[in-house]
Formats: sequence, structure tokens, C-alpha cells
Amino acid sequence: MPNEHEPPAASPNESNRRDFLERALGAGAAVWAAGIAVPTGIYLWPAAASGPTKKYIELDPESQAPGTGRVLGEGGKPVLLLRQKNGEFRALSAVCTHLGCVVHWNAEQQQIQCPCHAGTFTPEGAVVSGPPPRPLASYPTQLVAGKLRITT
Amino acid sequence: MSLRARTNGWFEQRFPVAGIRAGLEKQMHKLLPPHVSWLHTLGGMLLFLAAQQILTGILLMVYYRPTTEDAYESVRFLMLKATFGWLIRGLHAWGASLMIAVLVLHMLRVFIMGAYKRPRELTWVGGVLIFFTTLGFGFTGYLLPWNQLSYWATTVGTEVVASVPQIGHSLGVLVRGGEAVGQETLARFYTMHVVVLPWLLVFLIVVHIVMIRTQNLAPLEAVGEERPLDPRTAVSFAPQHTSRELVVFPLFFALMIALVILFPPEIGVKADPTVTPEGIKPEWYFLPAYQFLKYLPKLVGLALSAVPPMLLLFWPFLDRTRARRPSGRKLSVALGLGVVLATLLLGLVGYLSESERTILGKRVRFDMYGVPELVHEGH
Amino acid sequence: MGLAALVSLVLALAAQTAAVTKPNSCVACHAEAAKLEAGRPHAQADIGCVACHGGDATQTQKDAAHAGFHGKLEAQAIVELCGNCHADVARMNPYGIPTDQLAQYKTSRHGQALYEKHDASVAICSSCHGAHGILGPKSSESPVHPAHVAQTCGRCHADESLMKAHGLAATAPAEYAKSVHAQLLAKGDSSAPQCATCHGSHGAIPPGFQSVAAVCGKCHMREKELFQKSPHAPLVESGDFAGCIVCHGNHAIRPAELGIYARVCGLCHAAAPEVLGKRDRIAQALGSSDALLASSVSEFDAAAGHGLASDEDQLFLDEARTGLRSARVLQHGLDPAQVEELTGEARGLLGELHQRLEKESAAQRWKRLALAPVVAFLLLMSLGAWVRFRRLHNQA
Repeated sequence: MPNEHEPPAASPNESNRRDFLERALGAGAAVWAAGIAVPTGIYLWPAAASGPTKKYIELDPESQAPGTGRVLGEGGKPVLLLRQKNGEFRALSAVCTHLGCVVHWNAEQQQIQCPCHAGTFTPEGAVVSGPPPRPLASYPTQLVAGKLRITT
Repeated sequence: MSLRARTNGWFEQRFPVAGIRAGLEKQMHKLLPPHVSWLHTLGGMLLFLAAQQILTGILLMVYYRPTTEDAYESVRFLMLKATFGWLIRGLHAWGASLMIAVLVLHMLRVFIMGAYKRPRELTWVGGVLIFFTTLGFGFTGYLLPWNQLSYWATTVGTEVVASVPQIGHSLGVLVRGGEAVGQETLARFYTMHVVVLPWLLVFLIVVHIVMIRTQNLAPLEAVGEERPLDPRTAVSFAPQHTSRELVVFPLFFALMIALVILFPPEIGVKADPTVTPEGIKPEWYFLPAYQFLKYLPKLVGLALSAVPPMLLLFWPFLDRTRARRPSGRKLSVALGLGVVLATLLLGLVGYLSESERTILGKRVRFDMYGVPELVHEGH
Repeated sequence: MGLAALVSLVLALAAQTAAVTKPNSCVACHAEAAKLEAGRPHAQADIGCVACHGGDATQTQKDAAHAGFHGKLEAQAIVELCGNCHADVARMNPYGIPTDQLAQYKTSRHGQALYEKHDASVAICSSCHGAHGILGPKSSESPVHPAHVAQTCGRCHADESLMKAHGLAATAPAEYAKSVHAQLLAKGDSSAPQCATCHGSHGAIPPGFQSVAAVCGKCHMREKELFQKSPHAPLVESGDFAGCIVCHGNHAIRPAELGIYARVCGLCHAAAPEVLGKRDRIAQALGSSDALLASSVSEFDAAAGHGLASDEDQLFLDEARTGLRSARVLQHGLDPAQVEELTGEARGLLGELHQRLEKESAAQRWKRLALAPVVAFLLLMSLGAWVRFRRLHNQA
């Protein structure tokens, strides 16, 4: 049976072109393979410290001075972080239980207030006055390896 | 002795290397019928797609979490945070749709060329089983992102299963792992999608390829009138046919990358079992069946919709004519094309149903049967 | 142990029913009324038929039982009867029921008509609370439960001929039914205002001009505070301006919308361009911010659907929304500068959000840019393979 895959004798130019083509295609294939292997490798390298199901916010405890509070957005929903004068932390949901506005901390009156319909809450999240029907949910906080961790 | 020669020698002392090598070479340079064409590259593309789905699937599993709490978030993570996660997911999602589309084209080619006829009936049957398995992949995979579309399309799909008389309810509970789509459904679908169906698919594909290799591609002569291959006109698998596949493959790959980048798959809205969105529909490859079922009473529709898959599966045993060449079987070819077109049309109607579109500047609303109605402003 | 508990439970139940069925001969003929009373607060407190109707419940013979029976009392007598028991502090204390109903009633329009003009067509205690089987206002079946108050008041106040006789319109209940407050009540929010919230229950009286803001301000405290500082407040004092109800209506209160500015201000200020100018500034600040919010929301939703919006982005949107909601409240001070400041802040947040989303989608643009060379490379590979294919086939 004639071996068709062996090319018949050809002129030197033709055989040079053939070799060049084969080598070029081979090189292209190698580039292509690398183009698949490299992204795959990078993809497998852990992208974020805690993978897809991070359920807590971590931050530097000193970024919150005692007696102050601020709203954090990184947890997927607004979280109000309060630091009492004695240095202890408290984390509450910052979503007002009335109609969903974002509450804020009023340091002068040491109260959590909602700007929409003047709902007010104690620093523990209990309703003081106004239309909110329920207290603010609270989230556990802990100090882990020097960082404040809020589990949402 | 060179390292290569030494390695060869080591293996030659333990295995019949020469025989294996000769066998592989024979397979590589196998002669194919002269009519083998560009249309015969579809099978190779399917093999590539199956391998790609498995590879991208494995990679996705590294970050995907199959629980109702975390599934949606993990897909978001894949799209937003994992480097090239969007690419892997995009390839997997588009790969799924393309695999079904190319499968249909491949089956159509086989049908038109009568290649399913004796002695290749079982190759066809195996192929149809691969088709069903691929649809199963589509159905189970669609639930995994756990968004509203996933959840409700699966609810509708499992409702169809549960409407089978007598055993329907139990079947539904078995498929869903409960009375409604939930965590159990996700776990079952994930198991099917990631273990059961892949093994089944690989097995079916291997059998399919072995059958094709042992029987060779069907010629164009009629059954019983096959002529042996003439070495002067026959086409070698490698390098002649594979050179065609090497032309098509980069084009196909380019198409896939373009689709992934220009039309990235959505994440959607997280599944909410208490809110049913309007006009839920299954994925495009189920639209024809879905639309069909709307026109008939439940049981009649179910019974009738079991007919086409059975016809497809057993076609080589129903069509006992002997012509293979398309020009000699114009009726069959017309029938085959007609069925595919009708199915596509039904699918299009399904796509348009229960939606409002702007056609030629006018707002048109299609009801669930696909009947259009002009929408008047200020209704 | 369990048996003892069971026995005591049975005895207690028997004692309960005995309280009602304690020698009460009225039941023999007046079974309907007795059935209504069974298990209700008055029956449980041992207030039987005789307490209100007189008669002798120990007598089984009709004439003897009817000795001292005064049947259905007249309107004022009913009021005095209910009112005096319920004004007894020592008696009401254990139940935690207030004791000012009678005193309040006498100040109400109903009470005034009854006592001064002897008009018996007005509402008295039993008109709203019923006569038999009276439930407390917190019971869901009570006609004076917040969800039912409007219907109860409407029994008279929607009756055209009755209202006409008193020189009143009968439109209030129908109008109230259209209001946003009625809708809230229907949705199950029993803190939403109904007739009694604004008019008082026992001391029912339409609020005077000066008190409108105070009444609305019971819930809308911030709006009231701001209104008191607005240029409209002194006009309320002088009786030239009726306060909240001028813009918002009194019964058919619809959700406030910017159209109010266009419709109402001109009624008084048609000839005052500087006032209308201020109005325009406020309406403009709010209206354009609304439009910006709407487009930001759809931009955000589209991005989120593609997984391009992060949690911080959501917070920007939430805070902007909060700011605009606060601006809606702030507008009652009618100070354009204040409103513009707040809406300006919200718009700033939305602008930042837009930039963030743009950046996130710009990061996506590099993908499209990378597409060109990738496709070009692949086309080249295909072309090379094509040349090779032609060569192989030309040889065969």
C-alpha cells in the first residue's frame, strides 16, 4: 500500500516552505496549548484569601475610634460598626427595620438614627422611638489574629 | 545509547510496543471512503467539545459550591473574583449550547447520508443515546447556578415529569429529592451532572468510536452494494482527513471565544422560591418540547411527546430502504430537514411566547400559544 | 401529677362557664344575646344582663324576672351607664383600661350634640363597640380594631341622608378608602392611621387648622418639625393656611409626588414669581435626582445580572436612596438650598457609583480588545492548516 503521508520528492524551495509551514503550525499549536494551560494555572491559584463563601468582614480594629460608629458595605449588606467608649465593638445591621433606609450613628446623642422617618435605636439596636417595628439584628464580632472579624 | 532509545528498550522488554505502535499507525493512516468531506469534521468537533466540557467542568468544580446558600455566591465569585473564572464559566456555558447544536448538525449529516443504515444501526442508536445524555447534562447543569431562571425552569421541568399518570408523583419526588425543588434537588442534579452522566457519556463515546473504527465510515453506495475502498481514491484519516479537522478546529475555537467574550453568560438573580417570575422558560434546546406541550391536554401531550425520541432512537429499524446517497432518497432527506426545521420553528414560537417584543416599530405581545396581538398604548 | 392538672383544668373550665350560667334566668328567653356574651370580656368579669338592663336574673317567672327591667336604655343613659363604670379608676385598674372615655366623649362633637342638643342620632358607646359580646379594640374581630375602624365610622359617616341632616358631607369614608393609609392598613400594618388616629376616638372632633400639623406630626415628626420652621408655619397661626391637608388632602391622602408642586403652589402664589422660583428649584432638585436614581438602579441591575456589581456598589445605591428619601422629608422646610444640598450629596454618590460601574465594565472592555489578536491568531492557524490541507490533497 503506498504510503500517502510521505510527501513525494519536491524542489528544495517547496520542501523549505513545507518545513516552515509545519514548524510554524507546530509553534502555533504550542502557543495555543500555553494559552490554555497558563490561564488554567492562574485560575487555580487561590484568588481571594477565603474563597467563594466568605461570610465575614475583616478589618483593622484601630480603624474605628472608641465612641464612634460607621457603616460598612463589604459584607454584602450594610453593617453598622460601633465602638463603645470602653473599646468594645458591636456590629448591627444598618438596615432600618421600618422601610429599609441605611441608619447612621449619631455620636452626640449616642444613638442610632434613621434619617428617613426619625426612627431611633439604642446602641444595642433596640427601638427607642419612631416607626421601626423591630430591633436591629446584631452580628457577632471577635478578634482573630489582631483583626476584627464580623460574622454576617 | 540515547535516552530515547533506552526508554523505548525498557518498555519493549515489558510490553508488545511494536505491535501497539503498528496498531496505532494503522488506525492513524486508515483509509476512509472518498466522499469524506468537511461535513465529517462535525464528529471531531463534538469530541473536542466533550473534552472541553469535562475539563472546564472540573475547573469549575474547584470553586463552585453545591448548596442552596452558597451556589449563587460561588458563581458570582467565579465571574468576579477568580482570575479567568469568567472564561472558564463562559466556555462551559456556551460549550453546552454549542454541543447540542453541533450534535443536531452531526445527526442531520448522518441522516442525510443514510449512514445509519445496516450494518451501522447500533452506531446510530448509541449516538442518539449520547444526544439524550447531553440533554440530561443540559437539564441538570442548568439548575446549578441557582438563580431565578434555574430554579423555576427546573420546577417547570420536574412538573412535567410529575404529571406522568400513576407513577408521576413518585417520579417527581425521586427526581427532586422532595416535594419541591430545593437543596436535595441541587445535590441530586450535581451528582448526576458531575459523576453519573460523565461516566455514561465517556462510555457511550468510546463505544461509538470503536464501532465507527471497526466498521469504517459509511460509503454512499446502497446497502448490499458497497464496494471495497479503492486505494487510489480513498482518503487517509491522517494526514488527509485530520488536516481538514485542523482547519475547522481553530475556526470553531475562535467562534467559542468570541461568543464567550461578546455574549457572556449572566449570573441572574438569586433563586427565590417565594417569587415566581413571569414567563419562565427552559433553555433553548427544550423550548420545542415545552411549547408543544402547551397545545395539548397534559396526558395527550406527554404521550405524544414520547413519540419523537422513540422514532429517533429506532429509526434505522423503521427505515429499511437501502439507498444511502442523498440524491437517491430525496423524500427522506426532505423529511429529515423538515423535522429539524419544524422543531426549530416550534422552538422559536416557544421563545416568543409570553413575551412582548417590538417588531417593525410596533409593540406586539405573544400569548402562551405564540399568538401575536398588537399592544395598544395606554391600555 | 398529670391527672391532678387535668382535674384542676376541668374544674376551672366548669367555674368559667358557671360564671355566665350562674343563676341567669334571662337566658331562657333571651338566648341570642346570651350566646353573644359567652366568653367575652364583660361576661368573664361577671357583668351580666342585669348590670345594664336591670331585672332579676334569679327569677324564672317572667313578670318577676322583669321587675326593675328597663330594657333598652335611651342614648344618653347608655353613655352614662357605660361611661360611669369605665370611669371608675379602681375598677378599671386591674384590666389596664383607661378611664377617660366619658370625659372625652363629652368634649366630642358626638357628645356635644347629645348632651347639649339632645340629638340621639349621634354615635354613642354601643354604636361603635356594639352592645353584646363587646371585645377590646385589640381583638381582631372587634369593630373598633384599627383594621375595622373606618368601616365602623363609615356606618354613619357614609350615610348621605344622615350626614346631610347634620350638615356634613358623607364622602370621608370613601375618600379614606382610596388613601395610602387605608392601603397600609389593608396590608396588615395596624400602626397605619385610621379615623380615630387623627380625629380621636372618644373625643372625636375634626382637628382645627392649628392642630393639623400636630395630628399628622404624631407619625410624621420630622416633616412637622421642618414645617414649623418653614414660611408656611406663621400662616397656620394666623388661620390663613390649613397646613398639611392643603397639599396632601385630608382623607384621600395619596402618596406624595412632585405633581403636587405644580398643582397646589400656584393656587396662592400665582402672582409671586420668586416664590414659584423657589418651588421650581425644589421640584427640579428632587425630580432630576429621581431620574438619576432610576437610571442608576437599572445600570446597577444590569451590571449585577452580569456579576459586575460588588457589595460596595450596592451600599452606594442604598445610601443614595436614603439620601433622596431624606430629601423628600427635608422639602417640608421649603428651603431650596437645604434640599439642593442633600440631593447634591445623593447625586454625588450616584455619580461615584456610575464611575465604579464604568470602571468595572471598562475592565471588561480589555476582554474585547484581547479578542481581536486571539481571533487573528486562530484565523492564522486555520489558514496555515488550510494551506497544508490543499498541499496534501493536491498530492493525492
